[in-house]
Amino acid sequence: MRTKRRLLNLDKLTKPKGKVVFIPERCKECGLCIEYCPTQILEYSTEFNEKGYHYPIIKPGKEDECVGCGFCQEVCPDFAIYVELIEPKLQSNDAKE
Amino acid sequence: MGSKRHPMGELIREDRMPHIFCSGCGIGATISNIAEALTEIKKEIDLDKVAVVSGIGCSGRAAGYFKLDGFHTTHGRPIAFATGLKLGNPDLKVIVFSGDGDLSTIGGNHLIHAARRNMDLTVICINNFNYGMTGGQMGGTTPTRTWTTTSVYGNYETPFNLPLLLYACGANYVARWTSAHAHYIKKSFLEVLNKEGFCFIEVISACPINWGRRNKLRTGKDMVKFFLEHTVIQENPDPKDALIQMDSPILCGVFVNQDKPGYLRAMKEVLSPKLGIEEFRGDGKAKLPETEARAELKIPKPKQIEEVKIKMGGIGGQGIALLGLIMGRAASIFDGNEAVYTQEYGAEARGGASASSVIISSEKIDFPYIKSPDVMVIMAQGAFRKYRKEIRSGSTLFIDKDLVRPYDLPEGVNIYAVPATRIAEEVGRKLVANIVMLGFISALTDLFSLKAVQSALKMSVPKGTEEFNLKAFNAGYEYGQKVKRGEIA
Repeated sequence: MRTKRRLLNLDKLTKPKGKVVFIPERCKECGLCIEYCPTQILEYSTEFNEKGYHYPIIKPGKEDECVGCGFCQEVCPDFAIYVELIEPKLQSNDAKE
Repeated sequence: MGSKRHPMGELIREDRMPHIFCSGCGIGATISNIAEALTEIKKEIDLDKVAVVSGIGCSGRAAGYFKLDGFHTTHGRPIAFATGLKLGNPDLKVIVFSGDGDLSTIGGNHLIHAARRNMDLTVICINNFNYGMTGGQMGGTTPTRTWTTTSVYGNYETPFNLPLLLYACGANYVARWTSAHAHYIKKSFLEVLNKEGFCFIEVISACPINWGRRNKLRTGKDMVKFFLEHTVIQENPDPKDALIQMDSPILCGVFVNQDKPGYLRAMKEVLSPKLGIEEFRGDGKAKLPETEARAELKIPKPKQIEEVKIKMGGIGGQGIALLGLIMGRAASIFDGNEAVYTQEYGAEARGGASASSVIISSEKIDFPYIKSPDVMVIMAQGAFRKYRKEIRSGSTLFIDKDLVRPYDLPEGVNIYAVPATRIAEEVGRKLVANIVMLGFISALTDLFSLKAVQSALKMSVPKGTEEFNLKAFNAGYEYGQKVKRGEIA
């Protein structure tokens, strides 16, 4: 999404960072997390899990791009994926002062 | 798994994962949303006080996946069960989590009546348009012109409009979302968790395997996309427009949000001032006002007695049933023994044959009916004819002297006769012949203590007539004492 207008304090904002954790044995390959990841960093694995499904993995090279929004955790019907927030969500330096 | 701790692990039984739901099923998503909502507020509420009840069907499994108290009931009955649960322990927050077939079709009457009386329940109805677990048959919520295993030419029935139905029944909160609306489900659930009255959240749920497969929505992804594209979320939508049709968007939103008093509050408002009871609950924790009868309840040690079977027979209107009831109450409530009371009577209110049986014992009683009584009380000749064959040798027979003429009795039967009806007439009213008989029996047997039977009598007769009944009782008791002393034959 591109906009012409820029936030005035954009350079002071930090991008939140998350870590996606998979529990492959629970996955049933519905694909919702891959579909609804806003940063599109997930893809199907080539490996199978116990039940023969391709579970999601992070696309190679995109390990640091998770923003910790938690969409994948929210849409997953199988409790097979969750997000750990490494860095706090959107936080402006102004707010601290 | 080891170090992997799912954030909902506290509320979800991870040892049961992976769950049975199909790939892309919306039930898993809804469970996840509700677990997330509960995780958010777990510090504010006591999770031990939350119970999940579900019925039969795919969504019926939900109760087993929550790490909360739960119950998996019979088909269509989760609301009935949850009603009992809530009334028994009003501290509980009872969540009914079940399917459309279970709640609205098979348990339809429970649903509408729970909504009508505004029972304090939170009902989450997973509507997947068909009976998924049994193979995708059509049901009461299958939209018109959709295909299922039992509507292969397309369904021609009109489905239930659940929000309108619940609105008409008077529920306090009615909302509809789809399983793709995770945030809304969470929000709605948190909104109703502390709301009184009947709260109904319909979740249109993805069923890609059974409903979707036959309606060109083969995967969970397709169904979620369909839900997001074919739903309209409105503020204060009209439930009349909520009928699900495939050619128009599905209307979602909060249809009803009102604050009528819930069942428990309504009950309290009416009954509390009348009965003097602050709280109504079924788990024995309620504070009941001290009444005279209750004060006498505390018995230091029960009076020991072996099993005695008493049968009373007479004609309807003589108070045979009440006689048995007082005996049973005296033995069980005031003597601390066990008692079982059964009655039999004809359809007539007066004049027909009537009998009641009481079994009294210090031990638990296994069987409520009597074949050969130890004590027989007969107050009418018709009853004597009917029950004569049950009298065996060694038993005791109490009869009304004027009304019963015994014949053909086996040997060894102790007969005690009292002119109960005549004494009752002397006391004032013929009506109290049964009480005279009770006094007579109390004097001649050792079945219950005098104080117990008097307390039970006071408890059982209509208010204001206690003194009169006690007078009749004492007349019978005195007559019995005289018989005991041998003054009267």
